[in-house]
Order: sequence, then structure tokens, then C-alpha cells
Amino acid sequence: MKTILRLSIILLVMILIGVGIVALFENPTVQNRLGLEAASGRGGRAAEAGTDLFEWQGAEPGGRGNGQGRGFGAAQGEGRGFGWRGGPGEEGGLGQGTERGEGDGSDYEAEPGDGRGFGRRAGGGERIDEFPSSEGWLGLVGILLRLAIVMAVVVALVKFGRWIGRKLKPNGRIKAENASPS
Amino acid sequence: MTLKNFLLDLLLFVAALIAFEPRLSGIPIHEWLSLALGITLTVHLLWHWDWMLNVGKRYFKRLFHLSRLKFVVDLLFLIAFVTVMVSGLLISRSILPLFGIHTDHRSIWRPIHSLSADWSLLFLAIHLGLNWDWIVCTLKRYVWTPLRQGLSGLSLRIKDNTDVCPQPLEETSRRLP
Repeated sequence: MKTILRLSIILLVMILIGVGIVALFENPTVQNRLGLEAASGRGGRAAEAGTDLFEWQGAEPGGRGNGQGRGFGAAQGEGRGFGWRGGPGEEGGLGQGTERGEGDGSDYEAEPGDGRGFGRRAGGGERIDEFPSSEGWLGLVGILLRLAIVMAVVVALVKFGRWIGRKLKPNGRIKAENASPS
Repeated sequence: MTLKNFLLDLLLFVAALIAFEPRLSGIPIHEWLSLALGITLTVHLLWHWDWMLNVGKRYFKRLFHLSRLKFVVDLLFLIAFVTVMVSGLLISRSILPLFGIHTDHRSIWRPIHSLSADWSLLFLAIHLGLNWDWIVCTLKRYVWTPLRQGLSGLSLRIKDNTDVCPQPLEETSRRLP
């Protein structure tokens, strides 16, 4: 009985968080503020070719063009992209085998956005409907690396904090003990 | 309990690693595994109910303490994880279509899914880092020592109910005011 009650509370909390998140991000004001509106597809389908994860992957980071990537994170080039994956960097990558090279692309799947541009053809990409792919293994290594780095930093900070704590405590005691009785 | 905790946490960790990389497993496995991960996480939370309740109750008595930090990190992790689950369901291509619900996978939920997954990974790393002592201790107890002593050591240790590695709850009751 106790377990069921606890389970219900946990599920209720999770559902409440979920509903809150949906309500928050479905709010047009929040979407505007976060620049999410553009993502849901304004116009152009410049980067159309094979945007499905099962179809293509790769397109060697980005293509080249000077397109105005408007999706999430313009690919390499002078794209103006904004959004989560951060602008004009080389983030685009893995999304699509776009013919026209500009574009957009979130981390593993491109949104068409309204990017437009020209430039070098961005490779055809490779089929990745066979799993596990080599990209997948590489991604896993990347995840493990990120985990290891953050964990190492946290562990070091905790240990340092404890060391400082230990250092400070005996000092206080020694000072008290050494204080002259007068 | 420690062994059960350890096995569940290990399962969660491996499942999370695979779920974090959809290119490794493919979308259908990614989705179903993530759903299973959500259920397992609920069990994990259930098993740590006493700890959550204890720290939650006494949270504001002494603010700067590792248990409080863990509590905040865990809460943020939960929020990020629920966001991943919700956004993942809203762009689902395997689970929801199975029930005849078709989702708009070009919607705003895709970047939210990616972003919240990144945050989840960060909070997972911090969570593991903060519980590092327990992880090392449990690994030593259930993996390293039995390996050194031969497999017979494992059964001996499982029968032994005294917890060498402090449970979060014990840690809490020992250290909290």
C-alpha cells in the first residue's frame, strides 16, 4: 500500500513536470523568445534531400554555402543560424545529404528551415539504416568522454571541498588549544 | 539492498548510455529503451524515497551541504529527464504511431529533445560524480573483491547484511542536523 502511494506520488510529480513543460514550450510567447518559431518550418525547403535519420547521415559537416541557415544551427559556413546548436559553427553535420549545401541541421537530423544558399555540394552522406553504425559507436565514445570529464571535475571539487573542510576544522581546534589561558 | 541498488543503477546507466546515442541503436530501440528507462528510473526513485523525503524535509536547516547539492542536482536531473521523455514522445516515430497517433517530427520539440538530452547527460555526470564514493565502494565490494577472492566471495558477501558502503539514507541521518 505504502509502495503504491509512493509510486503514485512519483508518477504524479513526473506528470506535473511533463504537463508544465508542454504548457511552457507550447506557449507562443516563450517560443518567440527562444527563437523556436522559425524551427517549425518557415518556408523554404532548400535542404530537403534526405532529411531522415534512416536515410542519410553525414553530408560532411555542413556543406559550404553562405546560406542563411535558419533551422537549428546553421551548418558550416557563414550561415546566420541561431538556436540551440549554436550558430554558424560546424555543428550542422550529421543531418542530411543536402544537395545545396547550406543549411541547417540539428545534431542528427536536419530541419529545413528557410535556409537558402549555394556552395559546394555537401556530399551525399551514407546510409545509416544499419545499426549499430560506426557513427553510433563514435557518439557513444563521445558521451562516455563527456561523462568522464564532468564526473572527474565534480569528484575533484568534492574532494577539494572535503580537504578544505578538514584543513579548516583542526586549525580552529589547534588555535583554541593553543590560545593562552589568560 | 545495496546489491539490488547497484544492479539497478548499473542497468540504468547502461540503458541511458545506449539511449543517449540513437545512432547506435536506431530510432525504434532508442524509443522503447527510453520508455523502459523511464520506468526503471521510477523504481530507482521509489527505492530512494526515504532519502528524498529526509533531505526534502530538512532542506532549509543547513543549506550548504553535499546532500542538499545532491538533492538539487537530482531534481534538475528529473526535470531534464521528464523533458526528454515528453519531447521524445511528442516526436515519436515508433511508439505513438504504433497506437495510431502520428506526430509532427519537425516541430519545436526536436531541438528541445536534443537540448534536454544534453542537460540530462550533464546532470547524470554530476549525479555520478557526487555519488562517486558509493560507486567506488560498491564496485569494490561486488566486483573487485569477489574477482580477487574468487566467485565464492560473492555469495558470502551477499549473505552478509551489514552494509559496508553507506546508503544515502544513512549518510543523511548521520550528517544532517
